[in-house]
Amino acid sequence: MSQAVESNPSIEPASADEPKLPRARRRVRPGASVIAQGEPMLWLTGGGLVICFLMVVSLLLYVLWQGMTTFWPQPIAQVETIDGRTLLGEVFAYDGYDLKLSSLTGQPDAIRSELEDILHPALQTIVQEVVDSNLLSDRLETNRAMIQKAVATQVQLAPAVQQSAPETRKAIVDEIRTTLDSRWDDFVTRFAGELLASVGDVSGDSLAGAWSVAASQAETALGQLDVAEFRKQFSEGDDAIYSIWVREAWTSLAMPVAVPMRRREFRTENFELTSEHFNWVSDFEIKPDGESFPEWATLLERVEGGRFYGFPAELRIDGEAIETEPAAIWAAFPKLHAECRERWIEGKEIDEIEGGAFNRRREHDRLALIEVGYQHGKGSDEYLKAKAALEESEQAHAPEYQEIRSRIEELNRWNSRYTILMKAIDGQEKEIPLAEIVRACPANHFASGEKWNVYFSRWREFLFDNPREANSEGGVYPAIFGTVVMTLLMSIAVVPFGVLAALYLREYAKAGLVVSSVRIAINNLAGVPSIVFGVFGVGFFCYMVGGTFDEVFYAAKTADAGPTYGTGGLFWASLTLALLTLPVVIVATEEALSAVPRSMREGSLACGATKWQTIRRIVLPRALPGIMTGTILAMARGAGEVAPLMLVGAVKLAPHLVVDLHDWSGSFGPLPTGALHPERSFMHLGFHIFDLGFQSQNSEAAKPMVYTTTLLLIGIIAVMNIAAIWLRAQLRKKFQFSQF
Amino acid sequence: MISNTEQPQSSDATANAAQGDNGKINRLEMITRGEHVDAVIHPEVAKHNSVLDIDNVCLWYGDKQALFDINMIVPDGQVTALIGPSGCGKSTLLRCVNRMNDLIDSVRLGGDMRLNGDSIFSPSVDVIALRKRMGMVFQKPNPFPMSIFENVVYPLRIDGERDRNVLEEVCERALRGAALWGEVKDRLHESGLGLSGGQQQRLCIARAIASDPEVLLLDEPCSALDPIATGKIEDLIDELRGDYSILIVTHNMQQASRVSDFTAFMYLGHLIEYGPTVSLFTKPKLKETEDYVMGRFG
Repeated sequence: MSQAVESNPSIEPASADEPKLPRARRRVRPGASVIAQGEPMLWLTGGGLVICFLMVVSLLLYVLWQGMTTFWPQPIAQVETIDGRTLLGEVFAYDGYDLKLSSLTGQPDAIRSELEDILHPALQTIVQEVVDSNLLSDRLETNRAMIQKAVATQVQLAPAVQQSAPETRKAIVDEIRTTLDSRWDDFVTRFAGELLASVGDVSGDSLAGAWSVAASQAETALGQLDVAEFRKQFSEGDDAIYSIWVREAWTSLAMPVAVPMRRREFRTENFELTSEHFNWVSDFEIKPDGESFPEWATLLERVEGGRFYGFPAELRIDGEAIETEPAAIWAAFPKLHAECRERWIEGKEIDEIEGGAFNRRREHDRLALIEVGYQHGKGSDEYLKAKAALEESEQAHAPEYQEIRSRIEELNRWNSRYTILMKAIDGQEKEIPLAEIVRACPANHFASGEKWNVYFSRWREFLFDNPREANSEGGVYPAIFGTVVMTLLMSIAVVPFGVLAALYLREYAKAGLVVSSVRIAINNLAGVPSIVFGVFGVGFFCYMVGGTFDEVFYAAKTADAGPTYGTGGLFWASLTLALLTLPVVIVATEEALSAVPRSMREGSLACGATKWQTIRRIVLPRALPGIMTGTILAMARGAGEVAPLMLVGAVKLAPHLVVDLHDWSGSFGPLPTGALHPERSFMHLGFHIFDLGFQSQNSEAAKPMVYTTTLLLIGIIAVMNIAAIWLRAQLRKKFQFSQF
Repeated sequence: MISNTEQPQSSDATANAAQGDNGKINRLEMITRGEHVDAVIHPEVAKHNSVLDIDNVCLWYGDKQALFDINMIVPDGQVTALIGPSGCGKSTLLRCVNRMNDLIDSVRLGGDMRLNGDSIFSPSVDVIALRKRMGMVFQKPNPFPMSIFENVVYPLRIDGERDRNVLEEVCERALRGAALWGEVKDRLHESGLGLSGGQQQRLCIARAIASDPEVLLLDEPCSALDPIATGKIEDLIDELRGDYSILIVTHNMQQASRVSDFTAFMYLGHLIEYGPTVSLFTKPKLKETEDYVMGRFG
């Protein structure tokens, strides 16, 4: 040690001997000082955040506003136009457009003169601009020069042309014509064309004379192309000159003549009477004081046939008018309507529950018979016996079915007594059964309290009822159900696999080339387009797995009535989405596992715990919040995914839910009968949005539904995420981080 | 045993010879040059029964050798401290005892250790069963994310013990043993992470002694604690003396002198001197040891 101490001084002189390096000075450049404070980066980064934030918030606010206002009862307007139409309906949207000259063509006279009045000031301004500018004289000068040159050339050529053969002559003339056409614009061609017309027809001898005649004609025509003359004629209001110059300004000079205008999309409906859902009405078309809001204009939302706008004329029972005044009709309407609707719903429920049970039993028996036929052959004794038994039981059950039908018919008969006679704005009348009216809304008569009732009743219908009118009206309950069940099933499928895979990768596998490549593959999997998963899902799950399943368990049914599992369905859709979201879960879980401190694992191992005990008791609980985060991300991604679902089981309209609420009698499980039907196709909100917006027959009317459905989808994903986040917070509280 | 007693004497003699030569032979420099150095082991060590025998233990991290032929015994029921400058291998040696070094892929071992006569390094040893026979406390308190009660009975839980009475009894005994019972007896079912740093470390000690270990390994248990908490832990070690054989790694020489019965001084993977704490700190046989304990280097 003493040596070591002694050796220290010996080092000092050595370093002193070395030449001293100059100390590096940090120079401060004036420009750098601002950056040094970080202010520009603060603005840049903050600005980035603000832009992202604004985009997201404005999107959400837009959807929220559009979605929330859709169901508010709009006032019903009556509009009279200058061309004598009268329309009744709701203003659906306002739209700005540019009124152009071309809009004049093909319009009725009343509209045309109105439009010209609107356009005139704008045209005046533009033509005046053209006339005042140098454009006019410049252009005339150019044209004049070109014509003169052409004429001179032709006159020079004339003798040559004259001596040539007739065919050549014709060719030359044609060439001249083409040259003139292509090089000179309309304006000049008018004059040049006249010249050539006189040239082309003449015979060889008189050609020279014809040329000179043409030349003099051209001179005359050019003489007419006088700026001063044009201006004079224009100011005198010469129509021909006016229109020439308007066209000139329009086409050649690219001067826009456009007047910003507003029109409204008027939802008039009454499709069976007018064959139209919408009418466009420009503001100028409406007569002065032509817009009014008649008190008793009423909107009827019907079960079938769309909306009806009109005035109540008579309330009828058994064809007899009991009320004829709108106020009296409206006073009597709610009670009768409610009764009729109750009967209608009762009939529907009888049909669904009892008729449904009857049909299910029949289907079950029929499948059983097919099964017998499949096993023993169609000619076998067993089959014949079973067939006879089936027929017998059909016979026995027939009265039961008759009874159900007669009860429904009785209700329908009762309902058909009550009708309302509506008078459309064009005078046509329509008698509508009360039972077929979902909702009546004399919006102009309603006070705001009653409007709120309508608003909430529409929301209720939207959330809890089946769709009507090819999905563009009614509710989206089946889609909500499908979305939620599919997302939950997907989560149940993806989390265990994802967590197990991540556990192996992080805890068991030895780091190396294989593990790295597997990890890279998983990360890349997250970037595969979702439709690819859809294709894989339909090929692998539906056709291969489902097909095999059908062959083994439902051979008879498949042969007779098509595949059970061998086609798109909720189960396969969930598995496909589970595959899609697997990378998210794996990556998040791996990160959560690697965040568990080494000291905890060592502590557990030092206690004599095995690796698995350590993972189960220490690592997994600690990593659970992180795993939950992965699950939340996966759920959010899966719930919003549409493209693969279109291939593996989401449909426009599913006749049944995947859970048969009226069929608890049957067996549970993955069977074609019973309460749970994971093999059935389902409705999904995301697909519903696509369908409404782009596939609907009346997509214009479905537009507001797109917004409400979007709002609902966002809401459902938010609710599921919030639930998962809450769960994660609970877990985090339990396994909070150590202070060290 | 006999060879053990003879060996120190012989190395003692060499050491004396080395020192006698005007201090020109310096063990630390020899080690730096990569030469072999014999440890000086005081004969008093051999008077005790050993709980742990360390025979010629060598250890490599990849190509780099971290321990060189360590030979020592850990006396039963005594507190043995390992001291030495950073990187001298004392923690590595401690972690060899319960084979925590197995967790590092590149580690190779040589020699053997015997816990009450049973081999530790032999490939046929069940590591899990081996670790159940000892307790370990780490540098940083590492209570598990569960209640105080569950933390203490964790070793029993993993053994599948479910009897509530047994668990409660063990919990109380261990917490009393770790001098924590009075502070936490009313909140046994609150999270162990809510305790203060010193309490957490005592909780870890309670966990380590809950399974009645044959040897207790403490890896710088006070390095992350404030002086008051350190004092409590030291008092606790004092109380545990006699009931448990304790092997403690420490950076703090005062701590070693306060709590331990025997002290081993290590340097760059070599055992330099090993003997009763009193004699090692007051009249060490080697100049190097004296320099270190006087704070002249390291």
